[in-house]
Amino acid sequence: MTVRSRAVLAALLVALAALTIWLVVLKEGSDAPERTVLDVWSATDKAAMSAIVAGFEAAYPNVSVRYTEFNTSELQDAVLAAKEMPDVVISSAMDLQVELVNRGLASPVSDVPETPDWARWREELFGFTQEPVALVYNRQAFSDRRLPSTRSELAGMIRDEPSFFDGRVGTYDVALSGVGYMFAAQDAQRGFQASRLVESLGRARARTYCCTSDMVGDVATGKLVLAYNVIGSYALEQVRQDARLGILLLSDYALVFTRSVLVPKESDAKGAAGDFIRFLLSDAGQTLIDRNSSLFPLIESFREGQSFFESRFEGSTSLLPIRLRPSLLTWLDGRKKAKFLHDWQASIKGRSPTQ
Amino acid sequence: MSRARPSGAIPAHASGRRPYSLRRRLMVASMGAFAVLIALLSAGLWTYARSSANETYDLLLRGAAIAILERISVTPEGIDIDLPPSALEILALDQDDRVFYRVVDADGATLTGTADLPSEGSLAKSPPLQEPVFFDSQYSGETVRFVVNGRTLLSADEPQWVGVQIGQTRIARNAMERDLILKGLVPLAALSIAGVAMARAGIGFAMRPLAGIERDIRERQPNDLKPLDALPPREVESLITAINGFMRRLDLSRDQAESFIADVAHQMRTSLAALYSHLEAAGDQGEAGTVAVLRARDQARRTVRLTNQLLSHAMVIHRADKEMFETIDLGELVRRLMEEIVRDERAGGIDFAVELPPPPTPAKVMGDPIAIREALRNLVDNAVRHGPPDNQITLHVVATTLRGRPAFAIGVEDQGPGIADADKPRVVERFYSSGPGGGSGVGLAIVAAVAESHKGRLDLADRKPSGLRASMTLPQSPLPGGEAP
Repeated sequence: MTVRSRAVLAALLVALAALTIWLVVLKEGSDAPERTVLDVWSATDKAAMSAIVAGFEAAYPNVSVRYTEFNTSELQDAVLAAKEMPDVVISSAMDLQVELVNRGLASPVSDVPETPDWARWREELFGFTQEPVALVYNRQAFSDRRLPSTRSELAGMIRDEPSFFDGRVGTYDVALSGVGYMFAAQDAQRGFQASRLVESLGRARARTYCCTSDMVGDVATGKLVLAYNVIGSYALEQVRQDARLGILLLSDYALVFTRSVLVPKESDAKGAAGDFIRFLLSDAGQTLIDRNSSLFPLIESFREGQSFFESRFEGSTSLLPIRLRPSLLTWLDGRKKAKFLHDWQASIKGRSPTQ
Repeated sequence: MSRARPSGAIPAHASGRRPYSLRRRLMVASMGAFAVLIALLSAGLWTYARSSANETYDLLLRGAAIAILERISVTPEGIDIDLPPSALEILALDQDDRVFYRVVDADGATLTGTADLPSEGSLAKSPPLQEPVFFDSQYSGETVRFVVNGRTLLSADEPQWVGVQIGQTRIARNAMERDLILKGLVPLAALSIAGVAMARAGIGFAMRPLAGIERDIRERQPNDLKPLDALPPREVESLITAINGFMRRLDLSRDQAESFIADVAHQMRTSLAALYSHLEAAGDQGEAGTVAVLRARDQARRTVRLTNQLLSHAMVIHRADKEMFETIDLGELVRRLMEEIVRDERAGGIDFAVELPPPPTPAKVMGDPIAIREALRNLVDNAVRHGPPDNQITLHVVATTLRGRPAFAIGVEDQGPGIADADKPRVVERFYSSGPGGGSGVGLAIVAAVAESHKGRLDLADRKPSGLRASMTLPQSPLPGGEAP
């Protein structure tokens, strides 16, 4: 009996010693931290994000961000095909992000600061900006004209003055641009004026573009008199630097979209990824977005409401946020999309794309 | 009644057993009952919550399916599917649930949507489905509730069937289910707690009249045997009646004992005083002394007899209190007694006889054989004492009835002087003696006491030309719970 208890005691002592050594080693290990590499795959200009990434790295010195830039549909394909998942996925294509979450690929993140309900889903997908869809115009072209205030007015003007607008109106090529498709689809879903406007654009032989910057550039040079459905935040940056440009929110409604972020389930740095999301939506992160990027912070713009945008854009409007919800999946449906693109192209082009 | 008693009272559990607590028993029983009740209701509640959560959200699923089916049409180019945004929007109303859908044709081929949704055989049925089918299935790492609904499209050539399958994860359903269960269980638990508390209060309330009775009894003087005057609740009425009956009997027997002791003391004192005076006179010289000695001997014999009879009376009364009844064969008893008497009275010229009922009737009664035998013995003694030397004494046992019930009359007939009618009620009292023979006055009192303790009757009747018939009528069995003595 005593021999046995002595053996047990010895075993306990050995276990204790092993535990102590292990703890000491672990402590030493944490003294010289290994840097966590956070793989961020993003469909947002690196220029717009660089200040935010730098701010995050400053706040979390143990984490270094590896930032990879994609366009939205490339990003979707890359994530679905990835052998090694990124740790953070950022995209302006809300529908594609919702699709990723709906497939069950995202992991929930806890303790994320409060944001509007429409801009987060399942505690897995978080919007962190709020960006209206706007109309950019050439100030000189409209110097002696009244600006349209609603979509119906715009459609009427294009119809009434074909010579002025012919070939001088721009919008997204919905077949080329994911966000362009989303804006057009949301327009179609929101109101009957949308199809009338698209028809007017087609009659005016509207030019279609891949990107906001190209469109705004052509408006600046006078090649276009106006561009419909541009990303307000990007455009505003160019408008501020170029006196020839004006930017307007139509008063019937202005679509608002949010850039969203998620952490894939298979991320191997979920802790750091969660920190990144919490940083994006923290006061510090939101301030960085406001001051040091062309994007609009979600929380502050939400707090200030209309006035946040009215101080930046012409016109007053009612904001219509696109909700981060599975209803966006409707427009990703193969048949739905094919039909929509077919109809849209039939209305707007009736011919091969021009640029 | 588990409250502490004032000092001086005898604890109820003097026997060493702990008294049980009604309150605790009732509490345990009611808690157990409520626990079972809650378990049962919870099971019911769970089923109910699950089915109503399913029903509620199944309506949404079905609505979405109908919305999609409505937008499917046949065109010359084939089947046209124009997915309405409202369909998925219905399923995404501020919920965290993920949504899956697909549209299939009659062959089960997916026309659009997620092709790998589990159909659980619902699409393989023939004829193809028209009514919605709901089922749960594992998909994408979660339990998903699916609906499969179909519709037959009419086209130019032939009807074509299309089906829609829509799935929704169970987050909202489970939340509603939990909510329903919780909302059901909270009042249930509150009700149970209230019920247990009420049971606890109720037992206290029910016990309050008993506490009043307890206080009444405790505060009485030891010799106060008045009935309890508390107005008892129906539930304890019989207990109070029993206590009052017991006290009445106690009171009666105490009165009897007191008067008996007083009588006995008086008789013994008188008898011993007479003996003493005779013995004093016995010291005288001559004939007066001799007479006194004879008188003293006589008096001593009477005293002995008196003592024996008093002890016999006491024994009869004592046995009556104890009710040591058994089945007695009266014929057998009478025969035994007769043998004994004949042996004792051998010398005299008295003629003894026994009169029994004819053989088929067994003369059996419930009674105390020793008391009955003592009574008969006293009757025979009286007959011998008061009758002439050539007396003829008959012991009889006759079948009869008493108050409409079968009974037996058992007694003695003699040819003595009898008892005057005026004396008949009095001779049964203690220490009343009549006639020249002059007995102790206890004999008939014993007989009367025995008759009474057997719920019977004592009859004294004159015979022609002379003699007495003394007869006890004893019922075959005393009335069960008969009237109090």
